[in-house]
Amino acid sequence: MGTHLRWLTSAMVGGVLIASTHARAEGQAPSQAPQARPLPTEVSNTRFNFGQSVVPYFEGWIRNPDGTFDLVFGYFNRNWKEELAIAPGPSNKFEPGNPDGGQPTYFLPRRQRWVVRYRVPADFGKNTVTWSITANGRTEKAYGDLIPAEELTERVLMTNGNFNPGESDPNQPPSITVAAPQNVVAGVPITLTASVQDDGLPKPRPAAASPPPPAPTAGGRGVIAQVNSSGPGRPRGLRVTWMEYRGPGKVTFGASGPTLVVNGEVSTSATFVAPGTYVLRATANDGQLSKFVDVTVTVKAGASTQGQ
Amino acid sequence: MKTTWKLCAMTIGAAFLLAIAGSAHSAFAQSPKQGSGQVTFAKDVAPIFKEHCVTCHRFGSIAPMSLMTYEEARPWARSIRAKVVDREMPPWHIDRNVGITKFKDDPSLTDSQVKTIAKWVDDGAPMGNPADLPAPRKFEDDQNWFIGKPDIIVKMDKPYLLPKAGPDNIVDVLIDPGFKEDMYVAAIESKPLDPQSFKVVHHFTTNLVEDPEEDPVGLFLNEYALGKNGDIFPPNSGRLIKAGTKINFNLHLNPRGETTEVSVQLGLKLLPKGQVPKYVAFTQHMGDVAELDIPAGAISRHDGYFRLPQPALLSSFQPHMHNRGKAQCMEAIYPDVRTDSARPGPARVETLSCVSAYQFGWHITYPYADDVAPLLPAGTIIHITSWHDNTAANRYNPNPKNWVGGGARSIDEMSFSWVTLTYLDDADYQQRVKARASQSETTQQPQE
Repeated sequence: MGTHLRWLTSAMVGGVLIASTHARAEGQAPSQAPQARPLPTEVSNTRFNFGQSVVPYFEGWIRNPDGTFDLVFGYFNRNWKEELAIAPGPSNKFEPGNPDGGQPTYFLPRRQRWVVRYRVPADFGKNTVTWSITANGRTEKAYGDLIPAEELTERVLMTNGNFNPGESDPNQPPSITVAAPQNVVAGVPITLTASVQDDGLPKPRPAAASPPPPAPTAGGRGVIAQVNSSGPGRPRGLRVTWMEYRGPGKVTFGASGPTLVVNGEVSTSATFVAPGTYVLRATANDGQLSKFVDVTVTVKAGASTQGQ
Repeated sequence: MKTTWKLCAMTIGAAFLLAIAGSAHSAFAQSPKQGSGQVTFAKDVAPIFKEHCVTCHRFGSIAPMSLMTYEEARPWARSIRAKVVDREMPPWHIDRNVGITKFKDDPSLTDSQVKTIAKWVDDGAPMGNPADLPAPRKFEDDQNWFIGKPDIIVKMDKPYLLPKAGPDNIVDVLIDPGFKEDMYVAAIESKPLDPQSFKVVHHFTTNLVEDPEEDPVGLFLNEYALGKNGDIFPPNSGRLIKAGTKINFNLHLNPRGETTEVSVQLGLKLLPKGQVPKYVAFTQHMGDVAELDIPAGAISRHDGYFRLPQPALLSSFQPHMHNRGKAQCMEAIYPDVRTDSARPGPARVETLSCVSAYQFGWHITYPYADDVAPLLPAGTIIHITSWHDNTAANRYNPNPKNWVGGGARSIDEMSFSWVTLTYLDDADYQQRVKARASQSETTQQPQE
């Protein structure tokens, strides 16, 4: 089989196994591995933190009411730690036409889905739009076209591709606004506040306790099988996540991960490493459906960043 | 063979079969040869079809053509030969040269049966003496179940109307079957209700919802995907369904060009009333890869792992990938239990099963025979290796130009195995290991 071994088989397997091996008591039956402490059931593959490429990819297309189409793209930064700022141009371009199609210029680690919509005319037909990214010496491309099998709906995007809940569900996505901050200086934290409204669906609920360990006795809750891994988690309430979409350097947010909305608002601090124009994306998620808003921030040089 | 052939031909395989058959009809215009050593339909082929094929290949079932009679089978002779020789039919794609090869309800043909069918076609597909025909097999509707006649069948109250075009549809349908008392399930099978539903159901899951307000998702019960059969739990194992539990069908549907009324059903075989099984049997993912990275125009490999926290008995294996799926293997990495070992790492690795010619149109559950089902110590790591073919050479690939990652849509990819297992307590595990060893010694003794 002409297989390309693109991933290294886990080097961690042996290392993890040592821990369980050393816990064995003398005289124990050799067929039984003792468990000095519970080990995780998941075992990781090898991860690359730096030096890997960034792959743009085509998610599909949406039919707009006016007859135009939006080609939807995402990206996959193969690095687990390295973040890359790649300005529109030869290393980050749409083709044909203007290389700046509004795509991200700051690439966070790993996969970011549904990040950019590229509008094409109603008579686009069988044409193709290409987004290419060159990072760490390697160029990757995505080809967007109107393949029937790849048609999307807004609902698909709102559910992050999980589909649940379907079109017939009464739940509607939240709405979100963020006031653009003024007089922002590099290196000086600012406060960003998002206002979020939602219909209250699905019903918010507190975080569940960890599932009980598997029990060798019959019973519906003794062992909880995993649900489909692509399915949504249980609803937990309205939250907002912040991400850097475009910018010449890193933005550090005070909030890490989704932050609970309280009384229709949620705030975080943000610190910009360098002057320039940034686009930040705030995404509100009610546990099933999400909506985002982009806010542009102009950052001036501060005392500590003069000359940069 | 005691088992019955109850897998059903599905959309992709059936369409391909039709395409081949269309050109095959005229090639068999010549008269069949005669002779005493001749392979004939009546004497040699019809018994094979009766045992292995006609559950699906009969009118009213899922396959596109009937093979119940000579007149029905004869036009398809060449395509039948091609499919059985290539081991595409009956659909049983487990690699017979790797790992465990003994399964419950194995519908596949023996090498001898394949040769018989091939020779029959090569010799002109003769009818032979009608007096040699076996008695026709009789069917009742409930015989379409892989798990046998269910004690309970849960159906949707009304069909879901799927549009003729557009992207995938996902629909949740919550059913109250009116369960009045607790019960333990010994086998589960879910599937579309009728042929038109089979064509558009990508997959669906069933969940046990005990309290829709507090826990609307509920507990995962089982999953149907294109071509899947059912889950039969090992002896003394079962799954509890409490009185009042509702069933949620989560349907993933692909429009196929015509408006379709979609219905699905869940079949349950119960343990006798009052019998409480010692073990919980359940089916779960193993070897998921959180972020697939499948480059355009390439064949790629991903490895996923799951560590068994307790001793376990695995009772079935079912690979799950999408259109670019090429092959998947499951192996056991046994823990090293020696204190004097200077070598870090596993003591032994054993390949349990491989599907080396995966087809998205067939999500077959391979149920291990009880005496060979993997019996694994705590700490064993289940290693799932998946290969995806994202090249133009893969005729099912919807878009070989582009990178693809994981996702729920048909055009996205997945890589994991559905594994049915029961966790054992230590004493029972040791007892079973000894019993296996004893059984092995017995079978290895020279025969008098």
